[in-house]
Amino acid sequence: MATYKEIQGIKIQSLSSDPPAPFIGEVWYNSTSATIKYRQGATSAAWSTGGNLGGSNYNIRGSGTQTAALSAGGYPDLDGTEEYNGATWTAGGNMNNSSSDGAAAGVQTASLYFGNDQGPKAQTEEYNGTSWTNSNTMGTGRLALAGAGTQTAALAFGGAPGPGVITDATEEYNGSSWTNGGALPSPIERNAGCGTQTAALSLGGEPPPSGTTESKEYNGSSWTNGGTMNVVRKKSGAAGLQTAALAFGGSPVPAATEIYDGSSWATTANLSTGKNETTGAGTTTAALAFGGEGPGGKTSTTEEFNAAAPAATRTVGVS
Amino acid sequence: MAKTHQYCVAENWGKGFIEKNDSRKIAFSGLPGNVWQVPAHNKDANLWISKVLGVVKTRDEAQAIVDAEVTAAQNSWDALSDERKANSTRPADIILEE
Repeated sequence: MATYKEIQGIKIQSLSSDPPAPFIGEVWYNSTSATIKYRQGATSAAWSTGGNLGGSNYNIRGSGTQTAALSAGGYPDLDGTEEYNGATWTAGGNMNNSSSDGAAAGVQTASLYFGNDQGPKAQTEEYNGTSWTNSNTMGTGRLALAGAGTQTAALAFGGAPGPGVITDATEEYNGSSWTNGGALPSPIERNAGCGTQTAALSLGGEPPPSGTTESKEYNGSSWTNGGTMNVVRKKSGAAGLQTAALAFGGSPVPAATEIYDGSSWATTANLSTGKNETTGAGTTTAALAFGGEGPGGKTSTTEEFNAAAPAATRTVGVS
Repeated sequence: MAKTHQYCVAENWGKGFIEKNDSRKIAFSGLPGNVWQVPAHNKDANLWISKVLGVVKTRDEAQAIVDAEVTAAQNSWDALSDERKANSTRPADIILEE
């Protein structure tokens, strides 16, 4: 095997401390920490493929993180769930109700699913990482709503209580029951949501048939206008927090991705396969998009988002 | 006119199919029928096609594959109930660029 000197023409320096301004690609041995280090250049944001869903892939709802996500409900299985470990999806516990087009919140081992277009539109189910339990129903049953928060402090906002009816209702869940929150400025459905119960974000959505560039911010009691997105969206995915959010996919530009800093939206790397009616999990630095409608039909693909990173000094793992 | 895109057929096996560094170098567009559009005359794109054992297709060959998939998806959508149609979008025709 070639040595570093044979490849680079120089030896790796042995230094008692890291050089003050290493150049990109420079490698050195830090004799104090007994580690090999190198300077990595800045990297841009990127989507990469993750493991493909094995069951339902449409109208599913996601929660959790990039390396521990949950997919719940959706077509064709309706009551199925799947758990992602950062590489592959495996079957989780079945839901009590056939479910699709609801909303989800929480993490993989403590997730909440609420709303439905299959049966009881006011349903709420809690997942403990193994099995689902029915909880108290929402005051306003609906589908095509958005959600945010955790299993014990969730938020439901917007949606369609019935055919041709759209609501502005917001409800807050405390781990047991739902109470009314501040209403959205206007009725909206097929919006996406992220954040927490007291700092949530609603983005995109519609009164039919078009989407919107608008986002709305919730402070625990009322909604105000947030930043304007660069593209119109409905049925998109969302991840992150109110002040650090990611919007991806949806209609009519299913590959477009944007990042929000709490005041303005900026375009970032596109999905490699456009995803309408998609869902997601995670944060702006490590998000997940899975399922939906790709170009030409339903897609079981998963994509992992990793944010841009500045140049940094890294340590080489040596075994 | 010089080609700006090239096409290949490769099945997305999941993790590792498109890696972060691939995505940073190449603009991908996933299309029906496992057709992938990547930049033409691009060393990184050529290496990625080799990595995923992609079968290179001409634009017309790729278009035929995409058309067949889209037509099948449109037929499936047309057969849905009105309720299901209201909750989804009829797959649109896709025209591939040279």
